Amino acid sequence: MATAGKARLFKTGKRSLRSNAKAQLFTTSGRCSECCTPYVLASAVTNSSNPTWNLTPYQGPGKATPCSFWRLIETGSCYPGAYPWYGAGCVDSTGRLVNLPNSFTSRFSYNGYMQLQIGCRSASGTQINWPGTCQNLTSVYSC
Amino acid sequence: MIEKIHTDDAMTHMPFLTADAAGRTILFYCRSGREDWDEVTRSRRWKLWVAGEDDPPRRIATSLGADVCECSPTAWRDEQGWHVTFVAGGAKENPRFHLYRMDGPDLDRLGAPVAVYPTRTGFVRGDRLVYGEMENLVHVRRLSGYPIPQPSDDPVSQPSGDIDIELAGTFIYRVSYRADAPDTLLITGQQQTDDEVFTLEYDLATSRQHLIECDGRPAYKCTILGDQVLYAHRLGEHFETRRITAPTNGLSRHPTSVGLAHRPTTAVSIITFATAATGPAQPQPAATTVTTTSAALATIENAPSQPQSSGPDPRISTCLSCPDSRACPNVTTCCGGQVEVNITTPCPRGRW
Repeated sequence: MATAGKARLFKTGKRSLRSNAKAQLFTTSGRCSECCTPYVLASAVTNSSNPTWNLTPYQGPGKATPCSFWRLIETGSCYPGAYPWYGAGCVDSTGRLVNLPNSFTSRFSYNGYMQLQIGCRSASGTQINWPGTCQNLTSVYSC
Repeated sequence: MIEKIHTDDAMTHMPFLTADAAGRTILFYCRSGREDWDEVTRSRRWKLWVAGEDDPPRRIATSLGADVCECSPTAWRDEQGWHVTFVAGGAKENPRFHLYRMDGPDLDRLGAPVAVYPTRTGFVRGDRLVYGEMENLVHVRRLSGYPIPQPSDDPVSQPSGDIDIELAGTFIYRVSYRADAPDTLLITGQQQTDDEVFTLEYDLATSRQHLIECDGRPAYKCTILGDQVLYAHRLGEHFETRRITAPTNGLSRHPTSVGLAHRPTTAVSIITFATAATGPAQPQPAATTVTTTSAALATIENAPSQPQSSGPDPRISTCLSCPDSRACPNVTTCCGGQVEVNITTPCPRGRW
């Protein structure tokens, strides 16, 4: 049940605070959060002067809501006809972004407005809600 | 004209030459002063400017936010006055780029900017909309009027005369045209494999195309009006450290067939991507069913599925033999540019 922030234990699980002060809930098994809010975990601007974004600070347990989803997305070119995803995966029960690479390097010479987003399974269980306005509702993928 | 716009150490970019009602040359361009350098993002903010033969350089008021990057101006004039189009975006709150237009009886009385299309490159000229993808494709669309079709519209229903120009394996950085020959596009980009920049002059009327150089270098984001030529010459370490320059030894054209034109089709392909992830091998969601409102992806998802076989498609092996290829079970063909995918499960970019 690795999480960041303070926690209170209840009969049915644990309530804790994320680093952004929002609440999250865990079952007693610690396997899944029943309360998940989509949010931007980190962002960066890449370009030819600054092409590489170090993602290692977001690796390891306790970095995101357990059992949620992550994606790496470029928001400057988020168009209906575009597919600006540069990586995606699941967050495991320990809050680890599974297979998040060490870094992201852009070869595009101009600015890329990158976000590492955390998405949550919708109430129906078939879709993922993502933060912001860029393709913020997608179908669930398995990992 | 060039001396006039370079009275200080500001950078200048994205020239567009045209003529006013009296036939005098007007230069639209982007300018970035020392105060516009952002050390955090290590990039510049650019703003629209204009200078005339008899007029000093001045800012074109767009009313967009101070943190918005304004670039790639073009303009034409008719009996109603001036029509200026440009691309803008990059604001902190919403960085999404759009093609804008402003219309008015003269350049000092332009109306508020109207976002006409979501894109990073392109222009409107009369009833023609031209816009580029970040990579590989430039779309030419004939418009019958407003509203301009949006990306989710069925491309088949677009008016006739539409074409797509494919420049495989490239990033598209600017799409402009010659004001004195509006059928002649000027497409500037960069090869994804070796970072070499280029400008392609593409005649829509004849499909003839040339790579353009100035002083032996690719004429980056150039403009041509009659015998006048200007381009954005890189001065320093940063990619955007550029100044508009006139060639000392003129312009040279080299015939090419790098651009492949075809009619818009619903057979949309996923192509090489603008950025690449590094680090350990990335995960491949086992049954990705990512969907968006994207017409392109919707088309892909509706495409006939590929024949299933017990082993991997042999074309994947071909793909893997490429030095710069990436592997993904969805790939059916690839190598150096266009990649077609058997999408029930689109790979997030950077994952094939």
